[in-house]
Amino acid sequence: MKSSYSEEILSKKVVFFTGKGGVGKSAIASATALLAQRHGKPAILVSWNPFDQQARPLPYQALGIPHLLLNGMDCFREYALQILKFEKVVDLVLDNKVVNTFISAAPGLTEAIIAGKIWDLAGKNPDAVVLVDLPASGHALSFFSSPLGLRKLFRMGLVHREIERICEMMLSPSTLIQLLSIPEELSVTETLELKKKLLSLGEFNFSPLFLNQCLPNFPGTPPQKEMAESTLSGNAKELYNHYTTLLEQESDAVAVLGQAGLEIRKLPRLSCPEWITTVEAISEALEHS
Amino acid sequence: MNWDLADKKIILIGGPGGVGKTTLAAALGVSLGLRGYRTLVLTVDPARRLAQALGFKDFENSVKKVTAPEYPELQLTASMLDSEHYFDKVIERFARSPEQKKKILENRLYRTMVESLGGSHEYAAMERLLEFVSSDEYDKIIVDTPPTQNALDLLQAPQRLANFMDTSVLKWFQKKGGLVLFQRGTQMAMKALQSILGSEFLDNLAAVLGDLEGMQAGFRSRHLAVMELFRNPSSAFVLVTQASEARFLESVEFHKTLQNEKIALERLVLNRLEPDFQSQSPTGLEKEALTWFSALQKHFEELRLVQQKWAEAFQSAIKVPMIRIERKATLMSDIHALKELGDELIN
Repeated sequence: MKSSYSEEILSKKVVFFTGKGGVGKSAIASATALLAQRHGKPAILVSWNPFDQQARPLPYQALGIPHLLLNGMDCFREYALQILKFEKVVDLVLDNKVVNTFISAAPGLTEAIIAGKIWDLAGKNPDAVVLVDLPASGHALSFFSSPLGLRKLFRMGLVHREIERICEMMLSPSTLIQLLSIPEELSVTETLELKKKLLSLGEFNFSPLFLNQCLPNFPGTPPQKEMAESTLSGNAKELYNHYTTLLEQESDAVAVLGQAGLEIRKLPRLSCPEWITTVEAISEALEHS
Repeated sequence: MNWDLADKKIILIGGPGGVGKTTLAAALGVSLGLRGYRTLVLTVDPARRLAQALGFKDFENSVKKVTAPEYPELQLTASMLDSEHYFDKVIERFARSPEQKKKILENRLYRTMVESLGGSHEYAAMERLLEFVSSDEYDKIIVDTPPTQNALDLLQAPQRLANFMDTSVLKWFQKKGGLVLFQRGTQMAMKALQSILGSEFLDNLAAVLGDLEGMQAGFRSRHLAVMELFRNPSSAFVLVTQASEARFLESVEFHKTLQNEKIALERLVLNRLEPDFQSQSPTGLEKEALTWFSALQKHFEELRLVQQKWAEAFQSAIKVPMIRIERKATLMSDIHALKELGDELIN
């Protein structure tokens, strides 16, 4: 029997959410946090912006979700402190302009540091699930590829062990990648590309893809197409045509994903007025996914 | 209200991912190309259907005249950039010798490095734009910018690449043991860094950075050229977004960044608004079908009202003329559909 989404999530330590911009990554990651909490599992939501710019201030707190916005420099500071031991020395190193430029420029270093921080969080909270709201596809890919690439740069020493640990955990059975898409051509294509590229990097564990913003199941029975076309007129007919076009797009998306061998879970488009209510409603829908 | 584009040469279509920028850019291109302007649409990774509508058989890295039998007067050229080739373009442009180019292109590490800086994607789009601007072949150039959560990502791409190759950092790496070049504070800091990362890493990085030497001046001057172009009164920045809370928060930030960079926002486009069907309860449907239809009506009416609420929030937060575009019940698969949409945008 296929396991449900909640079963899957409850058995994991780290879950990464990724997909094209605008598919609902933050909302679904937050809804998953609520779902986990409801099942008695603490959840920590983590987001990361590769350029360390101010992220949009979504109201995680109001939902009661512990949230951490990771910043490459802060995480590096933490890591450096473990090694150099003294705050003053760390300050001396990191406040230096040259060192600063170096750290932000070194290939994949920020990604590896962020990944290291995520595993630390998971390690320190063994009962919790860490939900990671990754940036859109391109950066998500470099997040996974960087540590694997860095492996080639560090063949020994402290950092080598750290990188080995990160790579091992990325591919661990307790880590899950949750791909997201909406039923639109661009989004579907990008998601398929991303999965292909990720699989070329390593044997990651994927959960069935979430196809978000699908048409909801309305109560009653939809009229036969011929019946609708002959009976409806004016604005009602336009509304019906609007619906059938969206339905067509959705079936196209499902077909393309199916051909590519992806399992999917549909989530409905919601008409909640606010982000918070949307997240709560998604979380309810996830309960039955 | 008419949108007067007579004085504008470059129209930049920006905004978060997944809001329909590419389609709007193509639509605006068709519309302007039918108004007697020699128009160019610069786009990145278009959807297959849209590429087909513009006459591209596949994702090509090329420039192509768009023709449509029903519109012989159309003066439109489309340029599609395949994102796979971004990096190559960047390197080709600035490599100082064929050897340097070859060496860089053959090593995956450089690619990972530049990609992780988030530069090349945005950078190549800007690079292409500068090429076309200087050619003077077109009256209107419409740029479908790569999706960026923050406007800065796009504007600062060349700058970031240049910083990355900052000469002072390079010098240290190029001369092994060249710590003496630095002031005392930096020497100590770099030594401490060495103890964190290990000398093997620093040596490897030194080799990599050495290969890229000499390219940073080019990046820096391109950054300045891009900023100048964006600030020019003949350029118009159009922010495309959607009416929801998450998009609202994002767009307000985006607008703030543009203001800080002294780039004027010309128009705010709220895309894919649910149309107001105002439909009555239909007659002639049997009971079950009627239940279904009423639920359908209710759903779309609710979506519309939520969007209306956020549209109002947009209006009071971002004080530029707003264009509302309804979600279309047709797929943008031909020139005619694009023209209709483009006209809607301009009128």
